[in-house]
Amino acid sequence: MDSWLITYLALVLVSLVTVIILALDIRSMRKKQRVKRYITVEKCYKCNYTRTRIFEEGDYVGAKGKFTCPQCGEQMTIDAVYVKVEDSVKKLLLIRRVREPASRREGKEQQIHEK
Amino acid sequence: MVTLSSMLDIVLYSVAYAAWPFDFLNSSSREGSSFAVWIIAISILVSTIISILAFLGIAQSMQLRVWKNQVESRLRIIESYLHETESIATNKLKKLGVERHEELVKRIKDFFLISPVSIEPIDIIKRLEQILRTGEKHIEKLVSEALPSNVGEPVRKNLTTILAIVNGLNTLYKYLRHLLLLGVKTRNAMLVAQVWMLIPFYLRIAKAYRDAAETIAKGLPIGDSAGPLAAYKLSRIAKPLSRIEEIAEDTVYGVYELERRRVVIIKAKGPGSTVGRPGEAVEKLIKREDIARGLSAIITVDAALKFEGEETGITAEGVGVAMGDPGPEKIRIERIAARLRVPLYAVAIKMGLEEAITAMSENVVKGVEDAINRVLNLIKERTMPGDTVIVIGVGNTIGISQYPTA
Ligand SMILES: [Zn+2]
Repeated sequence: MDSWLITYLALVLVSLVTVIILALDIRSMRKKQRVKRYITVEKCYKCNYTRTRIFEEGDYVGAKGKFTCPQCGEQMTIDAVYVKVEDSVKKLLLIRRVREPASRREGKEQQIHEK
Repeated sequence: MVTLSSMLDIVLYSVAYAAWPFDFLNSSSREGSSFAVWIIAISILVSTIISILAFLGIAQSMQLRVWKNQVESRLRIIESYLHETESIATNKLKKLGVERHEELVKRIKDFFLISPVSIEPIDIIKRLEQILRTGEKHIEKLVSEALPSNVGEPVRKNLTTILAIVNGLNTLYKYLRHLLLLGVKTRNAMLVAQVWMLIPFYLRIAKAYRDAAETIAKGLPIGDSAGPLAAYKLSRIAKPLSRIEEIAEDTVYGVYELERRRVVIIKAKGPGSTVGRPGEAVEKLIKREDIARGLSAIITVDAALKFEGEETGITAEGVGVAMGDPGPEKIRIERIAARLRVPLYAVAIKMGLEEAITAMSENVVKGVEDAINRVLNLIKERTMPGDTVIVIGVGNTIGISQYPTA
């Protein structure tokens, strides 16, 4: 075999490999599996205590909460409902995520009340 | 990049020795390479033929075929979104015990609005409003007539919105299909190219619509609910002076005391899916002497489209009416402000299009807290104690009720 034939074949090979890599890349982009979790935030408007739970159908902001406040015994109210998009469980097992401390959120809410 | 550069090396290498095959063609003395010579010769022939054909316009029609195939595959995705949304609607209707659900979906699916004559601008807002309200009422009536009487208002309103989404997706799908088929039929490569270039955006919108239907079926707040959520949270930190009252259709207001000012908070009536009529509500409220006299600011809080690259949930303040309606509601508030010489302040909570119509994200909830701070600052800085301020939480109030409950 001549060297230029090898060159020709190598060209073909390289372009094939490029096409395959691109195809795999596009597939991996599509396969970004993410899990949606719906969260309900319950709040005590007397002492600003908040707690979160999984959303249940029928929850809406302003509705009576499921819990009573552990600090003052007041009936809690649903204060927000939001979605949290997280990586699939597989990914979560591989990469440990650092969670934002809950105190930061509460601090922000108390700020509003003080003003 | 590694593959690219090595590819380049090989290309350069083969270009440097490009004379080889012709060398071989001349000297038949060398053996063992005739197979390779044939490959090269045939590929040169093929590329010559293709380039000649390109001059005859064959290339364009080949390109047209490629575009057509790609548009078709994306259209199939949009169609599947349409079917999914339809099945969400029919499942919900079946669950509620509606027998002729297919007929209802079919009827609303092809519903259309004709925009008013615009070359004559006089009273166009009134005419537009008339058309929009008739459309709204018509669909609402169709739904409520089909549903059993024991179904609650929120469920009915959410269902109406889902059916409106089916209508939107159907219109989008049919329009794109029309452009494609027209382009292919008239062999207009440029028309097909336009559809091909735009279809990724429409695909995004279609996907957002499908997700929106899912979200609304669950009764979850969407990104657009940021305005009503801000209104609700503001009413929670203020001292209520009255009960909540419905002043315009699907629109409620309450009077509160906040920072020694009288604050009138307006929002759509939740927790069903509706945007209410905030413009009409302000118009009616202003007729009340006690509100019109001391009025010193109108503040609107609304979700706004962010620029790509901006973070979701950041807030910004400005002037004007923050409202995404086609015009009738917004113009009412502008007219009142101009007549009474009341400043209009706006607070925007930024998010992407998909985020605006699908479930509210945590960042938006944080943005709402920020927006409330901005509203409080505006009230403190721009008004005096004893003044009256109107705050409007603009947007769809799905999943958000009001305080104190009526
Ligand atoms: Zn408490």
